[in-house]
Amino acid sequence: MYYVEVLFARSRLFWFTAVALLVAAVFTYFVTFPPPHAHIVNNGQDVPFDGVLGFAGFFASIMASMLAATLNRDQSHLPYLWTRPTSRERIALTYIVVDVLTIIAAFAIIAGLCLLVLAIPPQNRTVYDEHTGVMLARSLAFPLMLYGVVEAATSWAPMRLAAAGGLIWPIGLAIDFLAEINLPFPLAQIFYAINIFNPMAYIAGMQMGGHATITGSTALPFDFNGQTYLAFAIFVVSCIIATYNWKRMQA
Amino acid sequence: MNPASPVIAFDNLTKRFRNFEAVHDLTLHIQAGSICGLLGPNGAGKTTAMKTLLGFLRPTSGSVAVDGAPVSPQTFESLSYVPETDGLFGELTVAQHVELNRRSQPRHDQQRAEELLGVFGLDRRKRVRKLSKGQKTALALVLALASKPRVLVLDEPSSGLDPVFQRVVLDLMIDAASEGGTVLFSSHQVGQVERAADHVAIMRGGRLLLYSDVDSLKGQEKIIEATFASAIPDLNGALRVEVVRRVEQAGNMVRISVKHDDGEIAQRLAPYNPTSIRIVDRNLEDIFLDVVSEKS
Repeated sequence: MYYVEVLFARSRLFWFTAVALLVAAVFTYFVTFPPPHAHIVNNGQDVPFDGVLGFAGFFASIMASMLAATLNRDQSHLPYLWTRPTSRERIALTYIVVDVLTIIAAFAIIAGLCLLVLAIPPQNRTVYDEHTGVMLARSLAFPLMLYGVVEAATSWAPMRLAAAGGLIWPIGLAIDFLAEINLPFPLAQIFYAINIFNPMAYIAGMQMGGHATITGSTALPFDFNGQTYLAFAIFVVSCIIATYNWKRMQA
Repeated sequence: MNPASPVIAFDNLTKRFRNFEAVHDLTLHIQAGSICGLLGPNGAGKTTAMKTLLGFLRPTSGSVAVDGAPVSPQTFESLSYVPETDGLFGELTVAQHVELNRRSQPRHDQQRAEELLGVFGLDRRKRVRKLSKGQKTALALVLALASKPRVLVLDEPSSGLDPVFQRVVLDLMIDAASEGGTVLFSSHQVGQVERAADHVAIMRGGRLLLYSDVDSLKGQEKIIEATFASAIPDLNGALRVEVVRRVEQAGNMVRISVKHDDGEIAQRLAPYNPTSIRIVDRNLEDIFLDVVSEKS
């Protein structure tokens, strides 16, 4: 059943890439041929690769939002999907694998475009440091966790919850904000606990300066690497929960 | 599987949604090669019974089986379903749906699919969201039949189709059964069941009211039409017998529905000097209306 999800994901990736290319082209044009009245001084500077990864992770999470709730999206097609000689678990996992590969492709496209734009004169220098590996993991963990959490939250529902992928942004940012401020007991503890499952808290953990400052979010347990592992673990568990919910659903 | 055991079996099936009982203690066995028409007004429980059979809903009690076993993914290698709502993908074209079927159904027959697309005049390049309701139903039928299923379950299969294509659908079901297939279909249209089905099940309020062989059902129940030269005399005395279900009068003709005819009614009418007496089989619509109104 991967065919139908491949067609859907391919069309979303096509538009995502088209917009990214357009933005990159416009940016490159104005940097290369600045308007006469503009005064741009750029003799080349160091750009941390960690920043590129964070940037790609952020935009990959937009793709994750577009693809998330995929099992819920197919509610109206269940009479067709569930009458194939394939187990429901396998159908759900096939969908998830296709979506995850599409998110990774979106990440790679944005990272590649960033490197391309940075390579154009005045030749900024991309700097690789010891954080590159952990930043790569964190930048992928965030969109994947976002995808997984939305999938688990929507897969059980008999009604369409297509907007969930978009709504998680304001809701997640609000929860992260509430977890960071000093609320009275027990609200602080409640929001701290909820925040563990909030994908937005994990993007807040990336702080970039001239060189990336790798610090974990203060509203999450563990250090930076621990939080990254936690994000991946939540992604995996969320996908298992989503598959189980979808399999058990009555339609 | 034992050849005598039913291909489709509902055994004491009850399906309840909170406080609402959609299907109550349904027992229905459909044998191989049979076409069973499931008739009933809206809310009779037809769709719920079908969805439970296919595993979309879990029974509250009782059981369902296809080929003597609960439904599993392997069941759908030989079972095709056409739902009441199409279930198709609006963004995909007709051709992409056929391709999807080819990839997901081991028994998919591309030549058969092409042939059926031609029968229904479906444009392969058209996106499904641009098809009419009837065309979507037709595409769902094409996909179901292209897999050459041994068991075919159809929920309102002619919904939205024009009369010509409704006839085509009925003929396709008859063809499937003549090749040994087993068909269960629901319909609001009694005429369709009468034309295609060899068995009829009538449901109302979640309960099975009647399950019978169509021919013997129609053969048992008769209509006696008596025409009189002038006004219809008072027949009350003559017709006050148990076999009479209903008496209708139109002009100078009286139509008497009877459960079975052993010549008694004709004998009772003879003294009133009718100009003619005709005994005809009751049609399924009369039987359906009687059953549904009698048990309500």
